[in-house]
Amino acid sequence: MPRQLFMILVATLLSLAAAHAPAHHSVAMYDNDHLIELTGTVTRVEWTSPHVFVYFTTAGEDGATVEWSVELDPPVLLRRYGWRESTVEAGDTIKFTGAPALSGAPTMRGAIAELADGTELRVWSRV
Amino acid sequence: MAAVAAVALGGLPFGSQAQAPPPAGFPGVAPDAPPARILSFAADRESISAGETVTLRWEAINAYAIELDPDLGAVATRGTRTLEPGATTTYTLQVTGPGGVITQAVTVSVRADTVAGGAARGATAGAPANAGTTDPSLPRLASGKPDLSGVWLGGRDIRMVGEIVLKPGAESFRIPPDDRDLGQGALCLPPGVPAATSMPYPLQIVQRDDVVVVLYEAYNLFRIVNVGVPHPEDLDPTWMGHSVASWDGDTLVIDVTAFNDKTRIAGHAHTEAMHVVERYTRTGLDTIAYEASVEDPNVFAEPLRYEGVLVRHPEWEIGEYVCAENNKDYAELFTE
Repeated sequence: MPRQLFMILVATLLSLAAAHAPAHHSVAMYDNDHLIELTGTVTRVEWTSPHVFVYFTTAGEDGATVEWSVELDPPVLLRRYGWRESTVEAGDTIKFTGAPALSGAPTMRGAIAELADGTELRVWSRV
Repeated sequence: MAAVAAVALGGLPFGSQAQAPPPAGFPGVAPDAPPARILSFAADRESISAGETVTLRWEAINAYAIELDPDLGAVATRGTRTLEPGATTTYTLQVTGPGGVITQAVTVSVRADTVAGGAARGATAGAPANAGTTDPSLPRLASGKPDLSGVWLGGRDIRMVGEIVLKPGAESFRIPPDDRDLGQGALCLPPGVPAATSMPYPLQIVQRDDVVVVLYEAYNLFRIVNVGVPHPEDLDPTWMGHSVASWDGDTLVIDVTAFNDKTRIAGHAHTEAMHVVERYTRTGLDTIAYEASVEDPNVFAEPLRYEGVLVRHPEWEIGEYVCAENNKDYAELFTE
């Protein structure tokens, strides 16, 4: 039936849309039991709620440059740890300790950041 | 710059502090938390005459609590204060964080031989009138009821105590574990009560005799709680419910009803019959004992109980948290 097929198609599209909606979330998509450390060069910072994002480039296994994103607590919490918006800027060297995405995508939930001068800062309320 | 003497004490128990550190709650194998550090603490002048002012500046990182004494008490992560000490004073910045407590001191000398305009003032003369009180009596409203006004953090100290006892036949309300479950906050919708209090963000209570306003940093939510009145009739169901308050002695009791059925409670769905009773008892200048009971006769055979302590943070202001500002598509981050 054309109408039934149409409704199934609509339902499928809606369910796909729901599955891929931008979301503020739990941390179930990260491997919180196996934290990694990565050092790179900051390319940009999104000083936003519900999470701050820092993007940085680092050398991948094959030597090619890979851009990672790291998810941090929101500005209201980072400021209480001692961060300010200008703490990290494009071009800075930075090291993050965090939980990588289960899928292997170059994304992590940051736990600790180490700035170029060696200063370590919390980036997660649970640390 | 004034001479700064740094003293690392390290290893003192957190229990010596008015503010407790956030409870451990890392979802996996936690990394070592970076230690608190004092990046700077200095006075703009190391010697003044009586009647002159001095400005202290400080900046710390990774702190759970910061105190600047004498007189100032809890202060923010970084700041400045202009003071007028009447006598030579050593100011101490005490920072509590992972690994213990660190302190740093700065001494401001007040020259007694150049007193102008009257006798030298006491060492605390320059402190703000409302800072550093040593009076432990609890603040009260003009009516005599406890004044709960202030910025408070419950956060992860607010926990469910006791067991979940489901009503027979209500098993379907249990939300089954799902590795891909992004949680109730996935769409930035309000968490409800008491969940709003247990998030790792502070809240501010603004209080009069006839109304209590609770302003939550998380999601920038608010509750307006009229005191001494019943719930109106024919309420619409809402995310945060409808709240009214009464006093049980010195305990503020907030009755919350008219919830929608869209939030979760202790891993369960619930119905619009959910009913919450919160109890706020100020147990000290810096603490409120918080209790909440949650009942839903369609789901639970016994009320759920929550307990914890709200800790005062006078050094904080409630900030802007716009949850919808910058969310990502996280679906691709799960294992395929």
